[in-house]
Amino acid sequence: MSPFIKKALTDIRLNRFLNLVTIFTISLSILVVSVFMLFFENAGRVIEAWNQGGRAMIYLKADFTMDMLPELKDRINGLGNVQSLVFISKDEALDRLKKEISSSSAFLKTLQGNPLPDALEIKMKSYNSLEEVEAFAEKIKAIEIVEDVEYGQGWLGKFLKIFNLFKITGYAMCSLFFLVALFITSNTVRLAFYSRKLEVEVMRLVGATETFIKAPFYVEGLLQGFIGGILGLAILLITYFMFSSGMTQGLSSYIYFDVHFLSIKTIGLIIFVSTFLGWFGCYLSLKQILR
Amino acid sequence: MNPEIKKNSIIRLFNVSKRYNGKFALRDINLDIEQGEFIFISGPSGAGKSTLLKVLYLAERVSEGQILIDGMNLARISSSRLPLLRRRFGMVFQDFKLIPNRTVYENVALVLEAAGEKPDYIRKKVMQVLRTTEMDKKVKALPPTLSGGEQQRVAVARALVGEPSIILADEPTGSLDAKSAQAVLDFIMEYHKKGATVLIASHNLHLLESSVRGRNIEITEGTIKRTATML
Repeated sequence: MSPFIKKALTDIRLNRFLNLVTIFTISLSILVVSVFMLFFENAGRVIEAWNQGGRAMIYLKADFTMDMLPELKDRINGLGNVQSLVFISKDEALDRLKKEISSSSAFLKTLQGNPLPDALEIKMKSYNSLEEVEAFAEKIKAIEIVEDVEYGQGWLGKFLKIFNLFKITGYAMCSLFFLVALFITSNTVRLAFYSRKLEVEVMRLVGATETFIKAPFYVEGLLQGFIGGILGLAILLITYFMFSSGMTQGLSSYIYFDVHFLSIKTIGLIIFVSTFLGWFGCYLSLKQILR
Repeated sequence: MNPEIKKNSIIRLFNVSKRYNGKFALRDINLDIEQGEFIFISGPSGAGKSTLLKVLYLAERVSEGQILIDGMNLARISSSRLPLLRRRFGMVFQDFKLIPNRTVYENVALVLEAAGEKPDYIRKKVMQVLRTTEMDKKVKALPPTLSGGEQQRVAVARALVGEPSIILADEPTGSLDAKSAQAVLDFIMEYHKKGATVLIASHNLHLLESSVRGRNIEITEGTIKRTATML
């Protein structure tokens, strides 16, 4: 084991309480950041799913006839952004409806004729914003034979608004907790430094270089950040397991996806940021003290 | 007046003065110390003995004058090269300056660790020097659990372990009983016999006169009052 790591571990052991407070503060900050990351990742998946495989239904007017179909398809394809286009006749739509709801349903028994319109199911290519989808839908609506275009505009608009609100709140909270963790870490290093003032003085007297003196502090900062990051993520993981299954069941009527834990890439990023935080706090403190 | 230049000079001071807030702690000191000499710096408290040692190991920079250590001009030493200068010295202080939460072994080993020595060499050398100072039975003890005499023996071991060419001791026996003080002096004397230059600042002239052969430099109010050879 490197003498610096060994020394840093000894220092952590000797200043247990101070180090525990720092690690706990870092883990708390990382926990808050991770919660937001968890939300962003899952919300991002929903948006991505919509972007990648977004579907829309084009409902046609009652005077639509099958001989209009080729020209209609050409016009829609001509607008671009169309991945696939499938015609669903009113009869086919009724059959689907009958399959989806019980055939003995009172609704179907009282149904006289077919009230459903002919429709085109359109699978869109990716879109970057709701505005783009709206503009595209408007172009389709402008076609005379098209009655209406349905693309989930209601819930999508609301979802994006909430998502953006969370994004801003998330950035603010993450920045705030990052600063708090940075302040606590640099303060811990400062306290550790003052508690080891004699040691530093002796080291200098016996000919230790500044690197030799500073290295254990940096290793300590890195370890604090790393352990704090792992601890924060561990708390989030436990909380996730405790609540995720119940939450998914509860929301299954409204959403079509599972709540996933953070991706390996994000976990790596969080641990890296947390470790960097420990190092940076130490750097700021030592820069000030040893000026 | 410049000191007479000697062939084997290891420490040379030219018109060295040190002022604190305009007040002289050292005034126009000229000194030439040969390699292997035993120098006893005496004088009353506040005379400038400690300051003289401090300017040698660059705990303080001089206000005027120049100091050469083994040909190195201290005025030109950058902070990055300061550790290299300090490794030429072994230092002993009245208050021991031992790290309280490090064991005896760790306190002594620190010198060699700072110099980047290999662990095997450190282990061997530290144990050897602790045997010399008769502290090898207490390698795992923490300094606060030791007596003053024992702590100073550890401090002497730390000063000797790097095999420095110069020993600087500031009141090394100041807080010790006669027996312990004698033991500490004996260890330093033994090391001096191997060719090291020793400078001891102390007001306890009587103890040194009885056991040391060397040169006594008496300082009063920051200036050298007289120099005498002790036989």
